[in-house]
Amino acid sequence: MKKYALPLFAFLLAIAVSSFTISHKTSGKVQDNLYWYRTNTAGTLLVSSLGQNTKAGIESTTGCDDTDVDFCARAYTSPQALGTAPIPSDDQLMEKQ
Amino acid sequence: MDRLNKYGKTVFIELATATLIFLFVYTASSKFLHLPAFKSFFTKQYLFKPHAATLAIAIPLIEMAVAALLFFPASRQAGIFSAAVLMTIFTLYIAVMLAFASALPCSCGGVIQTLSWKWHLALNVSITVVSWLAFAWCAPPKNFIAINRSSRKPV
Repeated sequence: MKKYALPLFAFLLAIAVSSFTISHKTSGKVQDNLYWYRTNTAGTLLVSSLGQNTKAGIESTTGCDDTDVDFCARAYTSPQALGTAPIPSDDQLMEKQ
Repeated sequence: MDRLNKYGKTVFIELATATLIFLFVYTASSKFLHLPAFKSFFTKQYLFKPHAATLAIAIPLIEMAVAALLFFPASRQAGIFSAAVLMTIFTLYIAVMLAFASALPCSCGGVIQTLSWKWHLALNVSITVVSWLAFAWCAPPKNFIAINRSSRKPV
């Protein structure tokens, strides 16, 4: 049993640290109900509004996750006018690349 | 002196094994818990895109399997060898990405994600060296007794 002590300790420590990291990462601002916009491939123009949604919701409805383009959709905490995409700032929480 | 040397190597192998178990279990569980993000890392790379779903599952599974091999003394040597090979592959990948890629995506698990790519490379090189050293010093299990022909003593 003694020969398993150190490997077991390493295993349990890894699980514990991993859980701590996960909870830390998910405890931030929840990115729910952001205002989503489809962008051009350069990410400079807001082409159309996708409404309020979660990132997972946008991925499932737009298929952005499977595209080859650099930019697909962007999310903001407040509604934006279509056209030139605002310069990235604190307002811009997420870019779906 | 020889006994001390042997003891030092044993301690080194034990510590290296524990470190590798920690590393593989930690990164694998982080990848499993962030599976969509890990998969999307592969979909963004031309080379891996067709196999993104398979790789996203296979890599953490392989890491867990290596950790399991390391856990049991009977399979420890095979585990250290697998860990050394895996770490060499990861290190070469990082080196190639640093040398040639314009954009450097990181899909590493947990806090390793916060490291810069150069620090990540340094960490990987260190762990790879430790793994190969542990493998070199990890003697295969003896299932025979060798006796010196002239002195008639076990060697």
